Amino acid sequence: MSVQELFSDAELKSIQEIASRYEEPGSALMPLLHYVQQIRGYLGEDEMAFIADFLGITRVRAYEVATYYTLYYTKPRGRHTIQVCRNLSCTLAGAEGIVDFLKKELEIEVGGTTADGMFSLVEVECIGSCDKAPAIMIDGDHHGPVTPESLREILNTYRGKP
Amino acid sequence: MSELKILTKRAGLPDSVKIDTYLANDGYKALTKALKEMTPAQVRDEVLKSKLRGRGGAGFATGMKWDFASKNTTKPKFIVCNADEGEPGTFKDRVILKFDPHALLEGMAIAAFAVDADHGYIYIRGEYPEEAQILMDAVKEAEERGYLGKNILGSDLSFTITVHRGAGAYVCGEETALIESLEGSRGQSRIRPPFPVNSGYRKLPTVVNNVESLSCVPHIVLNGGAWFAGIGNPECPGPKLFSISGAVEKPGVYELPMGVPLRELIETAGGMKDGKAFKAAFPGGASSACMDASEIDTGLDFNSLAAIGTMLGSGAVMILDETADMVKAAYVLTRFFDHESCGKCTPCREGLTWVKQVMAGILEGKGTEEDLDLLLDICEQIQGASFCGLGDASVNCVTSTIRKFRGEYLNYINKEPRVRAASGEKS
Repeated sequence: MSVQELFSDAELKSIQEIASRYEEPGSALMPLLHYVQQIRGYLGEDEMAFIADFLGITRVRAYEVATYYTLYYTKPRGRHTIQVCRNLSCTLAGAEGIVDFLKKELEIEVGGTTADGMFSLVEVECIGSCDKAPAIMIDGDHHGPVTPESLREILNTYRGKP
Repeated sequence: MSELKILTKRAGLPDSVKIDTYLANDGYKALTKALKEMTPAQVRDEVLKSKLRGRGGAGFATGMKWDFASKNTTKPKFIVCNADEGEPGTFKDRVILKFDPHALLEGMAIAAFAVDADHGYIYIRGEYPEEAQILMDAVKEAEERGYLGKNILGSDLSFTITVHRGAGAYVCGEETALIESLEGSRGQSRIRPPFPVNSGYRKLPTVVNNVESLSCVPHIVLNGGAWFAGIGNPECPGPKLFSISGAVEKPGVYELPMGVPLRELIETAGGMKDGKAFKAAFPGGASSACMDASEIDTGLDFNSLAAIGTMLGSGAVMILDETADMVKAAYVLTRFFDHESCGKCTPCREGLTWVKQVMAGILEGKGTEEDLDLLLDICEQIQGASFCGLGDASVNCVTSTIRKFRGEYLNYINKEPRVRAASGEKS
């Protein structure tokens, strides 16, 4: 696939700007993966290959980095990703019940995406909101302490968001 | 014990993230003092005198690290701020990142002056996108006002900072794994030596300091190392941000002197939730051995906790009450470590999977008493056999709960004779 088909001129400009922040080309890899994921929703193979070629690093390195870190997604997912913390403070505060509720409410398993493509559900380790346990993140936003009732409302606010 | 207002003194102010608020509340005074009235050696000397030890978990003397870095004259040299706080139970650096970002930037600029560094990086965990943006805005403000950039305040110091986001890997909180990640690789730890002060980012001299450690620096420069050393336990002094969560009424971040007894921290956090009795605490996050009720008056500092076989870590205190299931708690933490092992060292990678499986078996009622010996045996082989400290510490939750709450494991094991029942034998 040609560059023109992958990224618009404006997007290419952003890619160049991010890469210019670093003297070490490899250091720009993670910020660029973040950027591509932000504009495309996930990291496709063609996009990863382009970024690797652009930085002059091997394609396999881009792929291994993308698959190593929890917050990179190499497969398409729903418009909003719900991350439920399952670490100790959240478990003590009832995180398992939160996962069960979401599975039932959204009619999906952990790792799945709703039929309408709105939500993906994942379990994650500590997100640094232990004072608000049980805590979740939706996209970049922290929420907590959550209850089934408050979750229904929270989910509704995301249904209207792009 | 009353709460301190040193590191948190600006956190509650309106528009606390703005440089004008910061400047109106002693902001950048310490950097000005260092650049105009002190030599780099004098700054390092005050930090040594302060006895400041790294607030990220390892507790290494910050002044000593800076001394090592200053002796290496290879250029360029880097200051890397570890803002990857990923230890379960830790959310204390967030107070600074979110409400007082300039305190961190000032600390980094002073560090750059002290060790003659050229560029700074803040490696912030991927789960804090809002805080990353706050930091980027703050860097821009500081550059516009001349507190970062070329020839800061007319001095020879030229230094600025790049904010770099992680992507959700616990191991990147370990300094060598963090450097690997900053270079754009999988976050796996490197063997030490060489230490980052001699061969870090791009194999160049690199000082890696925690957010809270760096935020202590402006206070030390302004008030003197002796002042700082006079707060809390004289052996390992200073103000400390504790993040307390679990079974307390008001979980949150509290600033108290080093050495505050666990009991007083719990009281500061509103006491035990719903008036339940205290059962146990992990005083330094998931990596620390648990404390039981007999240890509740132990001071929370590096030395006092080491003396009872656990550790302060990053000051992430997780409280469990009388209703908590210690076997389940240890399982949840083991599951975390198994998930987060970077996979480099075999004992940690393979061992933790085994520990998790044996623990799961016990929880499912398939355990035997021999399993406890087996667990301790595997744990012993994991400890001391990994490149980084995280692997070593990963099984403290298992060994300490077996040691202190063996009865709870036996309750699972002795519940019913299902092993024989499953194999068709009569019980």
